[in-house]
Amino acid sequence: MPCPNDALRRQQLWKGMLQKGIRSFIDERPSTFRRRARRGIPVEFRAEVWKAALKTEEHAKPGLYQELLIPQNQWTKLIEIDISRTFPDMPLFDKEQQESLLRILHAYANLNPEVGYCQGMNFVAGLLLMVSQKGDFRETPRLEKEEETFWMFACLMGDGQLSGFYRRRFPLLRRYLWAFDEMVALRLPVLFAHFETENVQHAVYLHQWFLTLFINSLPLPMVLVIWDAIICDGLECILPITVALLEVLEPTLLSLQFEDVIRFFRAMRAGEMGCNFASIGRLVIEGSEDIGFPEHVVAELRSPLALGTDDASPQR
Amino acid sequence: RDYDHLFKLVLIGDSGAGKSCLLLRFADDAFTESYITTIGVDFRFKTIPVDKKTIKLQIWDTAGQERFRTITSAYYRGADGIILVYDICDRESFAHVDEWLNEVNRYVNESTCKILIGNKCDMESERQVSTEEAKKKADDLGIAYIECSAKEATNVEQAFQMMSAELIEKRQKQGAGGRSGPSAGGGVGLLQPKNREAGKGSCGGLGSCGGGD
Repeated sequence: MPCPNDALRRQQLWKGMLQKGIRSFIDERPSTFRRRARRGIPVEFRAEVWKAALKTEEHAKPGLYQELLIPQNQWTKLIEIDISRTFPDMPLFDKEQQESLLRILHAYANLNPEVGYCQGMNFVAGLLLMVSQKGDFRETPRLEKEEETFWMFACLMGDGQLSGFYRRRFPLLRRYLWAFDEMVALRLPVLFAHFETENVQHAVYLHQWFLTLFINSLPLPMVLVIWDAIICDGLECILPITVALLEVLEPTLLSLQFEDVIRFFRAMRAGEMGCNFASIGRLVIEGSEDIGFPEHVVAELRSPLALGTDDASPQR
Repeated sequence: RDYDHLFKLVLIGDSGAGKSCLLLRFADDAFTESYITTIGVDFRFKTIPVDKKTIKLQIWDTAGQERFRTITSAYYRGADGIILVYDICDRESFAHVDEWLNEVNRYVNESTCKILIGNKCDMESERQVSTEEAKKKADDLGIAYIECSAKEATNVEQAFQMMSAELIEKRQKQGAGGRSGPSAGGGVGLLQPKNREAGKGSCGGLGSCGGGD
């Protein structure tokens, strides 16, 4: 467990990196940056670091957001339904935030009509909105912050590849599910066999975990440190991280039958045990470090994604 | 085992019709105005007494967005009952009933029991679909109809009772006696192919051969 000194040291470290210019630090010392980010970014710097890691400023096109707000699209009703169902229990996510989220998702559907809107995106954009507004101490006008969040979201979806999760037929999600299956079979053969016996299909929980990047599946402090890794190290890190998470839970999972496995996964999201979930998240990320990608999985992950077809996973 | 019959039910219908809220009311006798969006599938169990028998229900709750049908259709297969939900205050969700049934019928067989639920019947002033119209629709389709309110706990228990009773009757007609369904052995038989290799095919795992949105 990190002691208070550790937290203080980390805070100083990140403060220094930001003062010297985080963007150039990322370019000049990418592996150091990734290693540090995977240990967790202090909450007060998180928004700034995410923004830089996503190359938001490089990708943002001034004025475009305002234009994208105007055209009507077919997703409006669906987005509206989901807005109040995004973070209903969080006081921080108030009416103003909801309106911002509505505009961000609407604008994104116009920016990328091929993806449009898919349920799950509401949670991802919503969390970016919460993090970027909470981290703001300079009283930037709200609309400016909203626009910035929009571009962070667009970068995560585009360069960060996340849009492949939400396209029609979920091509990247299907590929990740296949890869996960392969990795669990190799790394955790006993658990893999147990799930087969109990007929627990990984898809039953992974659809939700991956399409929301763990929001509502794990306690929020743990979600945030995992997002530090996702944003600074790349989307693929969710594969070893999820395997590492199952590895930690393996002794418990092995004692559970189908119904209780599902109940257990549902209970995890509540996180009522009073633990330090940020620390647990960091330990899981640390544990994921020696979980490699098998060669054939790497080959598959590097091959071009067949968009909008049924051939997103290998046919062998 | 601690039940006489095990039935697998799947909740389907447009996004926002109130599928998750109906399930929350039935499983936990609770209600919330703003339940989080269901992503992929969610899953609950409940054991209820029906006609002196103990019935265990495995209920799968599905995402309503059309795009998710390629994922959720895997769960229709092998379902004993399909609960199709629409919102009485949203005509569009009612207009999609045929579409939903067509989709489901591609995966289930004739013995699968189906019911139509008109949810949110507490919001009478905002009603867009009359009870008569919905009843007629259900009659034409040859399925039962019931109006519910997850919010006020109206008819929710009854809807599941109704479906269970019909399923028991069907089982008994089949002369199956103490048999408890095709996959009583445990887990969910209604999922994708169990075989890993088969799961990688274009129609296994995540995919169906159905159209997207």
